[in-house]
Amino acid sequence: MEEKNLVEIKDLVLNYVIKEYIDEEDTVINYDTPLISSGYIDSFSMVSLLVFLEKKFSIKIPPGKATPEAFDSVNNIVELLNQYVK
Amino acid sequence: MAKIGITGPNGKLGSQLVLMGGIPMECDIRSDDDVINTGGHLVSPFEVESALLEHLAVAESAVVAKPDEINMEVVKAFVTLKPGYTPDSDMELDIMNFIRKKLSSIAMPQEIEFMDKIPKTRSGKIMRRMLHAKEWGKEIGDISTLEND
Repeated sequence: MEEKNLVEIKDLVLNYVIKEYIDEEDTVINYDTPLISSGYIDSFSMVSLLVFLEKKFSIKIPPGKATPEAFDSVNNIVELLNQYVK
Repeated sequence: MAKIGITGPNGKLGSQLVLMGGIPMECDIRSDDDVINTGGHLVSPFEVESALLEHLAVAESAVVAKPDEINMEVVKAFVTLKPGYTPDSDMELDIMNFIRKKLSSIAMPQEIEFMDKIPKTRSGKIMRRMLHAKEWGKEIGDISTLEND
């Protein structure tokens, strides 16, 4: 993944997370903010984020790879995507 | 989010607190299939089915428990769509987010299976038993009451 694309993907994921999962307007989320372990996204909601990512990037992430750790920050998510997005 | 747990008079499994619109309500237990125990949270399939029907694209819905290694059970929805709507991942995501926001993430189907037709009895009742058996790899059993085309 090129650097420019990487930033674009990070922003796309970050914006989606903020739009869909963050209720409080004054909450500041960045690429490193813990999402699952801090409770912004619970393990049940993670499935909808997975469906979004698979749809958006036309990929299939194996169930064993879609772990709370892999989804715990935008950086972690993009690192995971990097293995599947061509 | 409200905590949900099993209660019952004299310790008997006669009633329980089930998530109804985010509020725990005491309900009678009719059978094991009438409630989904997902990670210790009890979810009413009927409430999820009702919420699904409020989605613009959903014509019919049936909700059952699906086995899950981590949460023991998770919510699975079988859905038929109204004419003009396409059963794809966009629709799956839209329905998931709709339920998550309307009810809660616990009640959000972890999987949505689009069907042409929900199996029903001739009297029009959804055959959840059949869908449940399919998910759990069990024998479907007697389907003599299944509605024919």
